[in-house]
Amino acid sequence: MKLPLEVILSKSAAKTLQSLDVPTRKRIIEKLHEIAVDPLNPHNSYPLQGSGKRSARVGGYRILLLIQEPDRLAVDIIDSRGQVYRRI
Amino acid sequence: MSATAVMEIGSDLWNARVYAGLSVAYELAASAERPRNRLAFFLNVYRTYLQVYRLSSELNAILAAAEQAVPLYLTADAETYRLRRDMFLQLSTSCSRLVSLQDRLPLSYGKLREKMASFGVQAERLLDLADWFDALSTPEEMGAKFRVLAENVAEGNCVPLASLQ
Repeated sequence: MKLPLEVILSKSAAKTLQSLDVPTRKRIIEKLHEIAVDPLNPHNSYPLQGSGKRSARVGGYRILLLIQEPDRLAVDIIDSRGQVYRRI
Repeated sequence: MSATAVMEIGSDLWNARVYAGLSVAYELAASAERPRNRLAFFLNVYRTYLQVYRLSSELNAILAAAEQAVPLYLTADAETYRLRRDMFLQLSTSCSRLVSLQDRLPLSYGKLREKMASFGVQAERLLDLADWFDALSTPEEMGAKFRVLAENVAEGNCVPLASLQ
C-alpha cells in the first residue's frame, strides 16, 4: 500500500486555513488527508493544465494542489468561488 | 478513455440530456414553489415520482460521462470551459432547489423526500465540475498562482499540514 503524500501549505494557505471557522477548517483538512492518500482519484481532485497540477473544492474554497514527486503535495487555498457563483 | 465517452460529451445527445435535466428540475421546482400550483403538485404524485426518478437517472448519466471525460477537457478552449461551467452551475443550482423543496413534502412522501434529498450529493458533484471548469477558464491566473506556489516551496516558505492540527 502506498504511503500518503506529505502535505505542505504555502504560508498564505496556512493563514487562510487558520482564519476559518472550525467546521470548514476541519472539512478542508479532511479533504487534504483524502487527497494525500489518493491524489489522482477524480473524487478527490481534478487535473489542470501542467504536470502535477490539480484542483479541488471544499465549500466556498478552491484548493490548488501541486504534486511533487516522489512524496510531497504542496497546497494553496483560494477563496474564489464566491466571485463565480454570486450571479446565480 | 473510450471513444464513446468522447462522442457523448460533446454530442447532441449529451446536450439534450443536460437540457432535459434542467427542464425537469425547473418544472419540478416551479410546481412546488408556486402556491397556486402546490395542490396540483401534490395531487400529481405519480408524475412527480417519474420526473424525480428520471432526473436522478439523467444526472447520474451526465455526471458519469463528464467525470470519465475529464482528461479530454484539458485541451479545450476558454469559451468551452465557460459554457460547461455555466451549464453545470445551472444544474447544481436546480438540484439544490429540489433539496430545499423536500422539507415541504408531507412525511408520508418518504421515498420521494429521500430521493429529493439525494439531489444534494449530485448538486455537490456538479458544483465540483463547475468549479473545475472555472479554474480551467482562467489558465493565466491559475498559472500565476501555481508559479507562486512553486516558488514558495522552493524557498521553503511552506508549513507542514501536520503542524497546524
